[in-house]
Amino acid sequence: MASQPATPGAASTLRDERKRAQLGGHRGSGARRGEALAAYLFLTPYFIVLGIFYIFVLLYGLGLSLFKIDIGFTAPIFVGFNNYAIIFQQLSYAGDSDFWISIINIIKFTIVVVIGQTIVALLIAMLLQAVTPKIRGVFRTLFYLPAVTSSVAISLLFLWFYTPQGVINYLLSLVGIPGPHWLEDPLFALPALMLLNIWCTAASFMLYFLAGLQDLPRELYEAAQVDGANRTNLFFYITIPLLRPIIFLVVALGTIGAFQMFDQALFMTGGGPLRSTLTPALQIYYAAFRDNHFGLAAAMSVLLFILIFVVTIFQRRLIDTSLS
Amino acid sequence: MKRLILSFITLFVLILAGCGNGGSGGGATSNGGGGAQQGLTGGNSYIGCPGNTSTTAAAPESGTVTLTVSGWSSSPAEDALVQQNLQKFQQAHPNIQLKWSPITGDYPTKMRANVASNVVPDVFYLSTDMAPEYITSGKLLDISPYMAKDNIQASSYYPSLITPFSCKSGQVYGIPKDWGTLGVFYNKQMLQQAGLSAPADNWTWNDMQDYAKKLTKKGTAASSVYGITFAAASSQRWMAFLLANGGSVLNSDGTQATFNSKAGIDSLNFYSSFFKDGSAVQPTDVAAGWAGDAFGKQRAALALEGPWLIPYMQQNFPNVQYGIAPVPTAPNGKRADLIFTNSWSAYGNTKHPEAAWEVIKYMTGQDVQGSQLHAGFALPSLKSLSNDQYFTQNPGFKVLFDAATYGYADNFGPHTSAIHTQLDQAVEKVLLGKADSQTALNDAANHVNTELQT
Repeated sequence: MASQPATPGAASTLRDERKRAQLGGHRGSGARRGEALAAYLFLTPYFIVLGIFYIFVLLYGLGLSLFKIDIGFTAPIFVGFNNYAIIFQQLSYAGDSDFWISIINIIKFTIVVVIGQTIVALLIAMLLQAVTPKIRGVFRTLFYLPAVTSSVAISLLFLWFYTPQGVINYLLSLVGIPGPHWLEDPLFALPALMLLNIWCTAASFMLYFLAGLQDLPRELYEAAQVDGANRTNLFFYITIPLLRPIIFLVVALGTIGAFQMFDQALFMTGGGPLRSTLTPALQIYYAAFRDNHFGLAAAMSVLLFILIFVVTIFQRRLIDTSLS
Repeated sequence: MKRLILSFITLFVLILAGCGNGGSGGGATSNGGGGAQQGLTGGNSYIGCPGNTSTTAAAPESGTVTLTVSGWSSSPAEDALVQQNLQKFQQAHPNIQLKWSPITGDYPTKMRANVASNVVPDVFYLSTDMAPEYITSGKLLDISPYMAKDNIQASSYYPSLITPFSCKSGQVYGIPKDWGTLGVFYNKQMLQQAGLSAPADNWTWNDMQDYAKKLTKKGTAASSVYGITFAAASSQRWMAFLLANGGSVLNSDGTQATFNSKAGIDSLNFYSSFFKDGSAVQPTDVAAGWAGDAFGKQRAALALEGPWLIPYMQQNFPNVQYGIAPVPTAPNGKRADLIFTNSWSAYGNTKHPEAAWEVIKYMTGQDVQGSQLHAGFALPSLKSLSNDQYFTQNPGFKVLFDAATYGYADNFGPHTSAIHTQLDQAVEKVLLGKADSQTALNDAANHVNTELQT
């Protein structure tokens, strides 16, 4: 999870917290110790789940990558960093290596999808902000539906939409554009998945922007309008800078999610045609469960983790998030 | 920090050492006993024998024995038939209780999880993709001693069906329960309209190209009809032509890829010629899920599919009149086909090996296979059923059944899935016009050779 970003509303929340703490302070250290104990007790189940399903699995995966192993059939052989060596040796024919093709695919995918969904989410949030609260509620629910629908269900639905005689090509033909064979054309399969993902994930990020927009101080806008700012100036010089922490959050979460895209690639195209929609997560799945190379798959997942980690750190540097 | 990492690695290695098993890989073993010749096949050079073959058959047990039986169900009707047959077995063997618990979803992955946790059903289905790994690691019961004891010959089953479940020295680890192969399904009405008679029994590759061209009628995107339909990434169709042309996928001991020979390149040129001259279409381009679907929707007159298409057509397109022709002969006069088969096998560490063998023997015996044949579900693996009256009533089924005599099992040892993937990619590249046959097959051969070394 990204580090706690400071939202514009955080300043007022902190003030309330300090007030509450001052009021409750006189209850004495015994009560405070009891509260701390209660806190730990409530946190324990979460820590157990976190420990088993997250930390242990993380370390197990790291360890798996050092072995040649096929889980249950033959004895594991310790090969050290050989799995990593195999992956990096494939760089010599990167255009034909499954893993490196998947990395190139996912980088293309992430760049387009993150930019796309951030802009779309912000636009929808601003549209919702401009209407009355009653209508806002209805449309917010409608726009949020993709986020709560199963990704498998959406994949199957869009598999149908993207057929050459399907809905999307029909709509394009109304505007005079001959639609391509989306999921069979190596050039258009990945863009098809990009469009699908932008639509799906913009839905959940729209809520972050909506919350942020509602917390923006009205006085700043009024002051700027007095100084003669028009709507574009208001947007670029007030809204965007104040939303910066949320933009970082949306971009970081979007990047982390986009890098791990798996469901749509598996259900809609299986990585094809011609590996144009092969993503690292899908390649890891194939390496482990189709080719029985669990150690190699674990090494790939470690490399994917490092890639996502580096990119996120880089994004944090780029998009300043210091508390004002 | 360093000590922490070191202790983690130590802990991890200890845990893994407990999980790993003592199965060795490959290596020759002694023959299964002096007089056990009938229980052995000719040997499968792609699968190494496990190090722990037991050469004696266990004695039958006296008390009540409970066995778990597992597999998959491709349809509710098939599941009902399996349960019916298992019930009949229990009536004939009152001291053996059976518990049928089929696995839904991804069968190989679920079975792998079972093997890793040592909770494996006693008797279960085994596909040819799973066979090499299970056999070589010693997870299966060696059935050869039991076959010898009960005088069941491996030769009563077609070699292409039973050899995929045996290892180098001929020990048998599974008996084929049913199988599928490829035939050319043709739409009778569309052939009539184009003035063509049904394909002759010995029709050639040129004939097939001719038919496909004559059966193609170009119209709008929604009304065009094509000669033949298949997906671009379809190595498990192209291989039938590779084998007919005298080519092979791997060399005899499974260490080198040989599909990029001249025979291979020519066969791929033939296979891609349908797309190049516009007489073939991908199923997805006509809004169909697979070739059988496109055939049923009558967007293509020919389809290279197997017995699984018969119940599909019955259920979804009952009014389409179709026939089944054998795969055409190659220019060298030879014919070949691909065989897809599954077996009944028993877990190597089962507590009741003799009872497990009885289940396998019954479920692959004449009665059960006859019942499956008469229900139209699957082709039987017993040679003795080749003159069953069902075939006279269903000549299309007979055409598919005859392919057992000239078919090759679609299995090439432990790296089969990687080989399928590489060949799928090569065939796809050529069919979509992104590469020529020679380059695509050479690239695939390089990748397969690298994979074979690991």
